[in-house]
Amino acid sequence: MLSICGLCDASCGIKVRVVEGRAVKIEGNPQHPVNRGGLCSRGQAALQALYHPARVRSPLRRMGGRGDGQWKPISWDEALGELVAKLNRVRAGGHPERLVLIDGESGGFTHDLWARFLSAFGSPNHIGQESACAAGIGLAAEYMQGRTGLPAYDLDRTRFVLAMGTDLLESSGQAMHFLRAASAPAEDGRGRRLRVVCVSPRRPGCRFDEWIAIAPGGYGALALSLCHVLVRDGLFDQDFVRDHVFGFARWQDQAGVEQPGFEELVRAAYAPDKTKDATGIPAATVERLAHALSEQRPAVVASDASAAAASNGLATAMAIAAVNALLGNLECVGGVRRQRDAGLADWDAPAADAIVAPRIDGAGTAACPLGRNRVQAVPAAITQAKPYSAEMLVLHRANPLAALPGRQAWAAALTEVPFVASFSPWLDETARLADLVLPEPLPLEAWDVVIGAPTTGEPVLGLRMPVVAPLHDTRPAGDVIVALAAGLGGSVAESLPWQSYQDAVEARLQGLARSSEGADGDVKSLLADMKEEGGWWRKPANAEAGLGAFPTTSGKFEICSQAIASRLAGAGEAAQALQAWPCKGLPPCERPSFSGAPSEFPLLLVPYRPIQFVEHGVRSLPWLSELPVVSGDPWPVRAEINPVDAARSGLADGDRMLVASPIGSCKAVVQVSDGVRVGALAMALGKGGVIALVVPEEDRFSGVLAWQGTRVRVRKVS
Amino acid sequence: MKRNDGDARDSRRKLLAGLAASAAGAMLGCSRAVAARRTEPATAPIGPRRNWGLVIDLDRCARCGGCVVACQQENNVPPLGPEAASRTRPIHWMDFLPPAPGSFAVTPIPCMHCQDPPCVKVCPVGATYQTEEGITAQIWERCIGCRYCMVACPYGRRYFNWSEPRWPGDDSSSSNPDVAPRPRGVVEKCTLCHHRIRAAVERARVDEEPLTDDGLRRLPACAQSCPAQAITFGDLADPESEVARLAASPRAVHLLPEAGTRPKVIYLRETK
Repeated sequence: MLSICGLCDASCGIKVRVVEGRAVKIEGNPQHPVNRGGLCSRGQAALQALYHPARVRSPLRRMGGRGDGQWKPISWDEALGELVAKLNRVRAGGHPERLVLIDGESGGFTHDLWARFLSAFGSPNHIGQESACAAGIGLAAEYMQGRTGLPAYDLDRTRFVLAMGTDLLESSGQAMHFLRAASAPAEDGRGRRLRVVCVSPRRPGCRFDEWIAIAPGGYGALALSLCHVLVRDGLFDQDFVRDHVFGFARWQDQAGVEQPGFEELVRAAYAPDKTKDATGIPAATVERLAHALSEQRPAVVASDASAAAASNGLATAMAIAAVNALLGNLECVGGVRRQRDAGLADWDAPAADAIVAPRIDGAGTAACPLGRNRVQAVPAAITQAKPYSAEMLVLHRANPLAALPGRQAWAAALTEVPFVASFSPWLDETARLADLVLPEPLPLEAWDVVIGAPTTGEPVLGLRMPVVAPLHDTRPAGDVIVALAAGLGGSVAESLPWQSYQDAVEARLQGLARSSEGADGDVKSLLADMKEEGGWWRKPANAEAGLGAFPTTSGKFEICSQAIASRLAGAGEAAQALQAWPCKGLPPCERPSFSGAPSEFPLLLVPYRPIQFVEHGVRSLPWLSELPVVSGDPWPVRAEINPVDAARSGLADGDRMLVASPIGSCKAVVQVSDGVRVGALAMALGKGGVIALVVPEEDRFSGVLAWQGTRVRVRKVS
Repeated sequence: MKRNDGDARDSRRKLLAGLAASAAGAMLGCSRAVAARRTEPATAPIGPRRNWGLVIDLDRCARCGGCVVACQQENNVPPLGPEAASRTRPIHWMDFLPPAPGSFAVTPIPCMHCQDPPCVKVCPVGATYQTEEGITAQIWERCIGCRYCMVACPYGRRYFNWSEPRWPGDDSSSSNPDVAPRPRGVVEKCTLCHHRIRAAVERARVDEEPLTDDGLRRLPACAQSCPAQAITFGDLADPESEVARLAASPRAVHLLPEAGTRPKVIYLRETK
C-alpha cells in the first residue's frame, strides 16, 4: 500500500507490505519524486514506532499528583467533554489569550487548523517551535525576498554546493534531496558529479567531497567574506545585482537619508584575513571557495537550521542568502528557487474575534522585534505571569522538556498552569506532567495530505493512507480540533464548520482540483488519482520558470531589508540598536556569544542531529540506535572530541567522562575523533541528557534559539 | 565469560581496522573484478547456471544506513537492546566497516558470498555450503554453534546468536513471515535475500515471463532500499547484466584480494 513517511519533514513516498493486517516492511515508492524508490534508515524504522510497547493506548486522565505516573484510561467522549469544559472556562473568564498552544508542527493542515481554532477562540498564542529550528532561514527569506519558507535547490543541475551546517546532508528534511543529487553519477547531463563541500565544526557521517571545519557560529562571517572576495575580484553577477538587488550600493531610507550599502560593508570589514578568527578558516581557503563558487556554476550555498542557530542567527542566514544573490543564482538553472505552492484554496475567512492581547512569548514586541515565534521564552513568561499567566497549555506533537533546552524552566512552568493537555502518541517527558494525554495515531495508521519539505521548488503533496487499522484507541488531532470547535459552539464552531479533518482538507484541495493540473474540479477524483500514485506533484512540463518580482518594498531582493529597518524603527530600545548598525536593514554579523567563561568552560558544544535523530519524542527505536555508525556499544551517549583536546584533558577513546555546562551536566563515552574541530565537543541530540547542557540563549532581534551558544568542560570519571 | 566477550570485541575491532586498511590499499591497487576473469562461456541472458553477485558503488553511497535497516527488517534480525549490546556486538548482516586510518568513510559490507568461501571448508557438520547459484548459505537447524566459520571468515561477516530472537516489548508483529528467525546458539549471516530470489524465480515461472536483469537489479532488500541506487544485484555469469558490466569497471575492487576468497561482492571505489 502506498503512503507517506512521517519520520521527518521530507515526507518521502513509501510502499508498505501488509500481511494479515500487520505492516511488515516499508520500502520507498518508486514513483515518488523525492525519494524515487529508496528510503533511509529512519523511514524504515517507523515499523518499530508503530509496534512500540510504550505507545499510549487510549486517552489518559491523571490520577494523583502531577508526574506521579498514575493514569486512568478514559473514553474519547470523556476526554473531549473535559477539554471543552476547560476551554469554556478559559473563555468565560474573559481572557482567551490564556490558552497557550505549543505546536510541534510548523506547517501542514493540522497546524493550519490549530491556527484557525486559536484565532477564532481569541488567543494569539499559537506558538510553533520554529525559533528552535529553521526560523533564521525563514526570516531571512521573509525580510530579503518577501516570501516565507525554506529555499529550494535545483540540485539535479547544480555543479557545486557549499553545504553549511551540521545536519543538512545527514538528517535535515532536505537531506534526501541532497543525498540523491550528490549520488547521481557523472553521466547525468551536468558533465560530472555534483561536488559537495561541507562546512561544519563536525564532519558529517555521510558522503561529501571536502570538509571545512568552521568554528561554531562562524558561518555568517564566512558568508560575508565570500561576498568580500566576490565583490573585490569582480566575480559577482553584475547584471543580476544591478537589476534585481536592492541595497548593494548606497540607498535612501524612508526619511530620505542616504545609507551605506552592502558593497561598502563587505569591502571594509570582511576581508578573509579579518574574519579568520571568527570562522577559524584560513584566508586562502575562503579565497579558493569564493573562486570555486564563481567558476563552477551553477553553484549554490545551502544551509540548514543549525548554521543560523546562534546569537547572530538572523544575520548569518541573511549573509548566506546574500552570497546566492551576488552569484545571481536565484531561480536560474541549477540555482536556488522559491518553493511553489500547489494552488490550494484558502478556507473562508474565520469568524474571529479581534485579538487584542500580545503574544505570551513576546515575538513581534520590543523583546523580540523581528521574530515570529519564540518558544524558549514561554516558560519564563508563564512562571512570572508576564505579560500574563496561562490557564491552559496544550501541547501538540511537542515535547519541550526533551526537545528544547531549559528543561527545569519548562517543568517549573508546567506546574504553574492549572490545566495541561498533550496530544502525543507517547508518554513522553512533557506528557508525563500533563493532566490529560490525547494519543494520536501514528502516520502508518492515519489519513492525511502532507506537504513535503522544499526540494526542487515544485510542489509535492503526499497522500498518507492508513496502511493498518489503528492499533489503539487514538484520534487524529485534526478530528479532535473540529470536534472541540463543535463542542464550543458560537463563532468557533462557525469558523470550523467541517464534520471531520478530511472535510477540512478537502476544502483546501478544491483549489488544486479546479486548476488545470487538477481533476476537473472534483476533489474525490483528485484523491483517487493521488491514491494511485501516492500523491500529487507538478509535472516537469508545468514547472514555472522565471524570477518574477519580489514582494518586497522595492520589488527587488533586498540585501539591506527595508522591512527590517521599518520594523525596528518603531521598536523602542531596539530602535537605538539600529542606529549603531553599520548597514541599516542588515543586522551586524557579530561574533556569536557563548554562555560560560572560557577559562572555566574551555570547549564549545556542537549539538547535532544524526541520521538516528527522530523528532516528537521517539528516541529509542532499536534499529536506529544500533546503526553501526560507531564501533563498540552503540547505546550510551557519546561525545566526539578532537585528539588535541582529548590529550589536554587526559581522555582516551572509550573513557567515561562528565560533560558540564553552566546549567547542566551529562555523562558520555569519549570518542576521540579528528572529525571534530579543535576546541569543539560534538554531541548528538536526541539521546540522554545532552539537551540539559544547552543554555537557551537567543538572537535578541529575531528570537532564534542559539543551539551554538554553550561552553562546556569535560572531566574523566570512572 | 564477560571478560572473554570483551576480548572478542577488541580483537574484532583490530581485525576490522586491519581490514579497512587493506581495503584502502586494495582500492589504490585497483584489481580487476571477478566477473572479468570468469572463464565460463556466456549462455542465454539468464542462463541455467546463475552466479549471483552484488556491486556496491562507493561513489554513490551516501552512508545513510537505509540498507542496514532494510536488511534487519526483511530478515527478522532482532536488535539486541542496550543491555546485551554492552556485552556483544549487534547483529548486522549488512554492516558498516569502520573508516580506515586516514580515511573517514564507512563502507557497507554484507557477506562477500565468496567464489571460494573459507567458512564452508571449516564447517564440521555441513551447515554452511555454497548453492548452485553461488550463494554462501547456512542451514540454521544444522548449525551446532562451534563458530569455526566465524574464525575462518576474513571479513567478520558471521554472527553468533547469543540470545533468543526478541523484539522490543516481545512484540514480533512486524516480523516478515517469509523468513524464519534464528534460534539462540547458531551462527547467522546474509543470505543475499535468497527467499526473494526464489520468489522472483517462481513468479517468473508461473507468469511464464522471462526473468530479466532489469527486474533483478534491486531484488535484495539492501539494494531495493538504497536511495542512492548504489547497490546493484544480478547474475555475474551473464555478461549482459548490469552487475557484470559494473564489475568490469576500472573502479572495481575487492576487499582483501590477497585472502584468495574471490568475493562476489564487488566495490566500485570513489572518484575524486
